[in-house]
Amino acid sequence: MLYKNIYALTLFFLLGGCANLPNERVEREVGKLAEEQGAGKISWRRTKEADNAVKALINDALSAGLKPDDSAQLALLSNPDLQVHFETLGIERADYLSAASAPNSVLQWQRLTQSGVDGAAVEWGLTRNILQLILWPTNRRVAKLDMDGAQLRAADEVVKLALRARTEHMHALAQQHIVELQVAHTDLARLAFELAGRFREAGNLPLGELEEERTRWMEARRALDEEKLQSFNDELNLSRTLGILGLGNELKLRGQLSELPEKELSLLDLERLALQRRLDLRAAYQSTKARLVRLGSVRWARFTPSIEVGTTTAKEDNGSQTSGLTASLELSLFSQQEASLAASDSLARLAMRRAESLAMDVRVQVRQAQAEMAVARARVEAWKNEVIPARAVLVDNRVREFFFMLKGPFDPMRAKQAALEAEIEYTRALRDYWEARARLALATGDLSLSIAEKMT
Amino acid sequence: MKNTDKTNMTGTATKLSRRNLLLATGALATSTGTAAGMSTKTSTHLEALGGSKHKRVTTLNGRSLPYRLRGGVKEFHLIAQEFEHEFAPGTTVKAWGYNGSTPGPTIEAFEGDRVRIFVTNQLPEHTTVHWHGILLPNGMDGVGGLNQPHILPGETYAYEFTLNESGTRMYHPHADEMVQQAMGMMGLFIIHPRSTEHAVDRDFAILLHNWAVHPGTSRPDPSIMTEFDLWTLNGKVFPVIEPMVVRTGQRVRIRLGNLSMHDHPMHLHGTHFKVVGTDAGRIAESAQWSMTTALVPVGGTLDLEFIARAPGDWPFHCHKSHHTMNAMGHEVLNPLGVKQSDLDAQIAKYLPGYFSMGEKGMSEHQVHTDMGHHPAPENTLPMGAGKGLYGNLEMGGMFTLLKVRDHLRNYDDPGFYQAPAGTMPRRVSSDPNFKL
Repeated sequence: MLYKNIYALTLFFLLGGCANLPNERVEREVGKLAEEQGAGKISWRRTKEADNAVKALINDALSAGLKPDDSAQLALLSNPDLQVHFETLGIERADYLSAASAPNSVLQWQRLTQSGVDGAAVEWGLTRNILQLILWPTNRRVAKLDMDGAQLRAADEVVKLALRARTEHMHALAQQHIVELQVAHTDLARLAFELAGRFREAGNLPLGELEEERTRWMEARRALDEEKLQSFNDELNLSRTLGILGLGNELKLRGQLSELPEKELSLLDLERLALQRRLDLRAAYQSTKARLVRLGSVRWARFTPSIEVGTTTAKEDNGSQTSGLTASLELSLFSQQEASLAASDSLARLAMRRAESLAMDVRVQVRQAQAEMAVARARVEAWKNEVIPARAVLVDNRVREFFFMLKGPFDPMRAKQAALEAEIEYTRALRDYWEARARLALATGDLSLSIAEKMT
Repeated sequence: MKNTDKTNMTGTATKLSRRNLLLATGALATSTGTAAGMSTKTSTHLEALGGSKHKRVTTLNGRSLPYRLRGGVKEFHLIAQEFEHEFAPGTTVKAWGYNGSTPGPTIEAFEGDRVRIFVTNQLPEHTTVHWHGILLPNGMDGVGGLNQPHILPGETYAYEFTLNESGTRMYHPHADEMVQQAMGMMGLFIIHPRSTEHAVDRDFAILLHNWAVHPGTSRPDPSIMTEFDLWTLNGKVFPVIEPMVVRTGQRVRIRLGNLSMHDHPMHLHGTHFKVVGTDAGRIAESAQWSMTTALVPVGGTLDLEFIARAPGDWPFHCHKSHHTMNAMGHEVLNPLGVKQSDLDAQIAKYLPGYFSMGEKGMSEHQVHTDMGHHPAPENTLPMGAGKGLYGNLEMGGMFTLLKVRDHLRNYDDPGFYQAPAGTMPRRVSSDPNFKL
């Protein structure tokens, strides 16, 4: 009977639980979280086939030309930094698997010999820490909370990347348009110089004024070079974000900067939205929860830090065999897990404070982004509704005055250049607005805020 | 106020008794609001003035100021005020003047008359009236602060003096003079002699002025000293300035006053004239000589007389050629001889409708403005305008026509003169290398 019980107990000790969390599930969970925030689909590429599939996709997308949404999607599939993050998540997964698995039993074996005596005494024992077993579900829960937090942070990285790709796309688009405008500006400077040359040939213009026009043209060319360099850098940055460098594909951007949306959300709505949606904040709350659960378990086990029970079988050198149960209990006489408790307590409070701090940061980020957006909006409206129409009136006036012999031909050309400069500033202002709006989207965790209805 | 010119100074006036005339003119002269309904059409009266053989002057595009007789004194009423003034269709300004016009109505009276002139100030600032060239008591000279207190806004002052000489005189403010004259405050004061010795058949009165009405603006700029935009005869520019219509053989007088900032060499085609008077009166015959151009000095008057020698349309204009143009940019780069048309299409990419001008001269300007190719800047007239029987006149500013005809039913504009066959130049070749 005793042996039967011992065997049963041994069987019990040998039984346990293995945590199961495949990479595919982690990827699915992260993807789902990111999509809820408005990001596209992700791909945690772990095989050569997956790499090749993404490359094919990139080639197709690049040959068709990219819209802002395409850039965001492409970055999620191809950006190497995100893959790095996914692999980090893999390590977190390993930690989870380790923490969430059932505590192992300990198998002991010893063989004892006596000098001058043949034979040896052999002892087998199987023990298990009952306290760890009792705490296993709690530890598993803590591990799950930490893993959830890791997934939330990974999804947050996905959202940030999608937003960065979209923002860089808009920036590059705006810069391309600025280059087009600067080309026109430079061409007008060239024409003014050529025209001045004709006046000079006719004997109607002093050399100094011709050289003045040459200088203006040179300055316009230098300005164009600067804008082209900026455009080159913008496209390079975007290519880096998309992870498409070295593919031999030319970046073709489609779409245009959208006009301002008619209305803005109120600050209260935005803060509420941010507190609900920010994944990193949710991750911080998860971490707090995990630390609190951990603290509870440490408190609970404070006076019973270790209980081990087991079975043992000993075979003496004379061939007799004895079997029985073993138990050991750590006596909390001198150490009552104060250190562990203090650490857990601090970790719990630290997590709470971090979450509080992050929540405050979130509010600050929302307010800053909203204020920047409001200023950017005012700039856009000023250029669009005041300066550009004023410049158009000036161009019209200068043309009329030219035709009425009140002004020379350079005056309407300069007025047109001023109008082009106004359009450039308007484009910059509109770009700044959408960038501020992207920061607001980042601050609120709602990617859709960075997407205008008319975005093409 | 009704049109006093038409009521008092048309042909119907001769049918009125002196008493009726005075009643009529008096009733109207005392009313205010003269800007409303004011006609700028020249009165074409042929009647004698006050029963004498002297003709009333014809103020081109203007009128004479009515008066009433009270106790043997002729009473006139000038109202200094701001109003909208049109130089020609397309350009109006907020001008200052008298009784709704600039120049103000011409004051006509006789040598020996006692005149009392009420001046009501409806301007936003004080004013006075100086009676330019008239010999009068010092206290009546109208220099604000010197001879008299300024006439404050809303006040009316009465000037009273006797006209001891005849001739062409002027009136204008002597208070904030730079501003008020730049804004158009001026008029002619004609004093007819009692004697009919020098009576003429047609007597025209013209006041020369310049205006700084910068393109796109609608208020004269008093700060300008030399670079003016518009040059006017009686506040109008060609072709809105009315012609001087006379019959062949008539004795004609043109009275010119100059309250602009420039002297003007006024040139008459088709006849010789003599300068017979200044703002100091009649010049002795021995001191007169024939000429075709007379320089009218700033702040002076000249009376020109001649016999209308031959029928035709004879220009009368300032011979400073920029004064027979409307606004143009004097800083404009000279386009003459500049071959640039091949750049037009490239520039037009950025300035739709652009094309170069002036390579061969500026006569094309009127062609384009007349055809509507060139939209005008706000409140701005083209440099040149006017059409004759044979093409564009390309004139503006101080330019009008003396229209002499053998037969006239009245002095309305008879239209253009058609030269008889054989009295015009004819084309003999279109070959630029033509040789005799």
